[in-house]
Amino acid sequence: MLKHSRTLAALAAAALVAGSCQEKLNGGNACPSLCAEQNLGFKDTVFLASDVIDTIVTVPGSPPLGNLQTVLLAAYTQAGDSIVSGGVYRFDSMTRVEILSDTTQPPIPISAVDSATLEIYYNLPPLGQESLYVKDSSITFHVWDVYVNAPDLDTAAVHARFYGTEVGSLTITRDTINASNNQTIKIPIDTAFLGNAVRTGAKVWLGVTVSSAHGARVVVTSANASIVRQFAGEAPILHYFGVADTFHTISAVAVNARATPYGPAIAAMGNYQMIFRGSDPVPPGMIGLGGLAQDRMLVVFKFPSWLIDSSTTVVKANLELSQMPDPQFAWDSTAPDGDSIVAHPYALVAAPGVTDIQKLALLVGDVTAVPIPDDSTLRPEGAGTDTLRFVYPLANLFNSYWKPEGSKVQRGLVYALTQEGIEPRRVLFYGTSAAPAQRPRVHVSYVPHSIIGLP
Amino acid sequence: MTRSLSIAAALLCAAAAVRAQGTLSTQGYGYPAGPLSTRALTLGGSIGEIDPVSALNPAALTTWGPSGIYGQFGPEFRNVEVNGSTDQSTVIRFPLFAAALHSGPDWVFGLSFSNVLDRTWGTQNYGYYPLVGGDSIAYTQKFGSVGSLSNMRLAAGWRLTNALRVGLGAHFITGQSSLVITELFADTGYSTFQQITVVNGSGTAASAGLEWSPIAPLALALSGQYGGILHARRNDTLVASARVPSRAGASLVFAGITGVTLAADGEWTEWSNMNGLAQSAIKAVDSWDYGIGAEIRIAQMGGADLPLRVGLRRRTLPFQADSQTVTENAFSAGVGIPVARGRGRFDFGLIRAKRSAPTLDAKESAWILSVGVLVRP
Repeated sequence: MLKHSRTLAALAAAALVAGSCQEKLNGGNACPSLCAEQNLGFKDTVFLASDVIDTIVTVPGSPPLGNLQTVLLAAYTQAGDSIVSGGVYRFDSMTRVEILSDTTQPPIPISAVDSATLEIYYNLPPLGQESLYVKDSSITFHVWDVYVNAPDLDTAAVHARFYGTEVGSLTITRDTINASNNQTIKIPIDTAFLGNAVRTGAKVWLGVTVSSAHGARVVVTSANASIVRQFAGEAPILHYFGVADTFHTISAVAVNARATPYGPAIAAMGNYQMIFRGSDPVPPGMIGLGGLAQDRMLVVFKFPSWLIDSSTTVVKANLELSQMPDPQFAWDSTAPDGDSIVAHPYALVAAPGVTDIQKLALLVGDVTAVPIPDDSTLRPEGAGTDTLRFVYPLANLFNSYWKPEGSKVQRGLVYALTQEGIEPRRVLFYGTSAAPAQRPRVHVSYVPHSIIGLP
Repeated sequence: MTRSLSIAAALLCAAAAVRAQGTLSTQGYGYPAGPLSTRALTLGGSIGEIDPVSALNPAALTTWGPSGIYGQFGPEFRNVEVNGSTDQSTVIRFPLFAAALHSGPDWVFGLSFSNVLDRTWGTQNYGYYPLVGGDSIAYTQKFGSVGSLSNMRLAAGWRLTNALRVGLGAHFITGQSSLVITELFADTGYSTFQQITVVNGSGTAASAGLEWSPIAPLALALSGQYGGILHARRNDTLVASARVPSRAGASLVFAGITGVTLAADGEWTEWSNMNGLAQSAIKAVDSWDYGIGAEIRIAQMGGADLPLRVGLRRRTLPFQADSQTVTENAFSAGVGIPVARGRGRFDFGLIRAKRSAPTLDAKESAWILSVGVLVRP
């Protein structure tokens, strides 16, 4: 009897639950008289910088030494302005002895070096722009001994060593560096110079520049990319044969010592870019983005809490900046790349205690479901108002990052050019000290959450 | 535990709706669809206090008969007219599930789940927002609510004498309201706004009732419910408190004509107890509910009566529309079909309800089909 009852009860409950999914409702329009409180209060507001921006500044030379993923080797003129840059490749740790397989025997010091080459890897120019990157049929790479017994960050001492002692050079045709087969340039290095360095225990720092009759620029990789990429063979290496004695010759590969799989990278020991002629300084009161040396733009917001908390959803947000024309390196059809420069907004991921703008400019990430799209509408020589969007349907910083993270992170953005360290052009924006009409603004559209009866 | 009960109750008693519109009946926290059985509904609610299946008067359990279970299905086909435009909608409800167990000749214990308020609806609005600089943007707003408040009653009925029966009930009010608001913009540059608010309700109440038959053809039933604290929680956070509505009701039944039962009832419900939950303009008002009905035996089937039922009901709904109290008038008719030699019964009822508010240019009418199944294994 009891079992029978249970079965019936289960069947009845199942029938009820299963049936509860059926429905059919046709739409209509009896609102608003019967739809009390069913109206969302959409707001479209322009905040002045003083209301919602805590900091908006240029972060000069960011990312700093040893952090750029690429190195620009350039010597060309654009709109009458010269760009000259080289790369510094540090090999602080060299193979100087041969260790025998019979470990009871002492290592044999290398006494001479043979067949030394610096191998660097280049990025292919955009299709169709090969002759804009290298304007002549040939290009020469020069390698300089730039080692100096100076602190790691004393780039001035290294700078002075360029164009001094040339320890290698290679002239190749333009077509060679446009080949996609290996993207490698092997520059012979003076074996006497390298042999001496190996024997005496000196560090080897090589400076690389390019020259071409009408200008050239080559973008090469650096050891500052991820470790995976480094060991995938894209970081520059110094390859040589070390002669220990008549019977012992070893093939040695020196790599940059910035990073190892076993510990954090030491940026100061990385490869870095040396600018000989680049962008003019950012005028006082202005905010710069781009250029050579590269600048990032840091914006830290101080949004009111009600815009961040769960009572509001921001559906659109733009940073509106007034732009001042920057004619330096003005683009024309003979210049590489397009007429606009492209900036990417990164979310600041720094904790509230971080105040150093150089550190802030590095503590960034793509934190939304998909990265916030690049802004590709910046024309350095243009004027007027630039609208930099930072809320998109699938990349809503407010919803997916700032709200959940709360006070754990600073609410800010760091803008960097996608061609950072390569693109000499720069956009200049008026800062917070400009005339009121030219100051930065933040245009926000938001929807306060609705309560219909229940809290 | 509270959440589990909420979900279970929602499954049992909630309706579902999508893309509907504002209605007179689903204002505030919803439409009170329970706790009357199909038989009681068809009789205009008039026998609610004396009907053992309806989850009103615990004393009425004593007339349940052999132990059994009961389930009820009640789709509503609704028509709303506002300012000359008409909307239709269909809502599926399961407003009552009940079971009773005899314990000896005089005691009956009952368990029931009945709908207190069905808060299931959907609306859609269109319009334009002005933007800074003089431009505008088109939007579509969708409001949708799914959920209900249900009443789980554990009750006992005791037959003191053949003429006097009493009962007590303990009520656990539980439910969930899930409000989803979506706003879409014509410009794809805008993120879609979506707000999902889930609020769980829980509360308690106690009820007591009696049935008295001073002379053979006449029966009077009275019952009342005292509402305890009603809590609204979001996740585990208490967001508001109010009281479960208290109520009192009476039914008078006359069976002095062979094959005919006449009944009338009146009920008062203190819905204003819920106003403590309101975070907005929702206003609950106390309601009165009156009904009369007649049950006429028209045939016999398998040794049991096959009755025809008719009823009239008039009540005010608990939540005002645009500050106007909504009144519902209903005419109903139906039959009860005995099956399995009295071990089961199918009750069918068809209710025509009309709802209106005094000065509001809105009218609502509905056909409600009510089907109840009683099984005595």
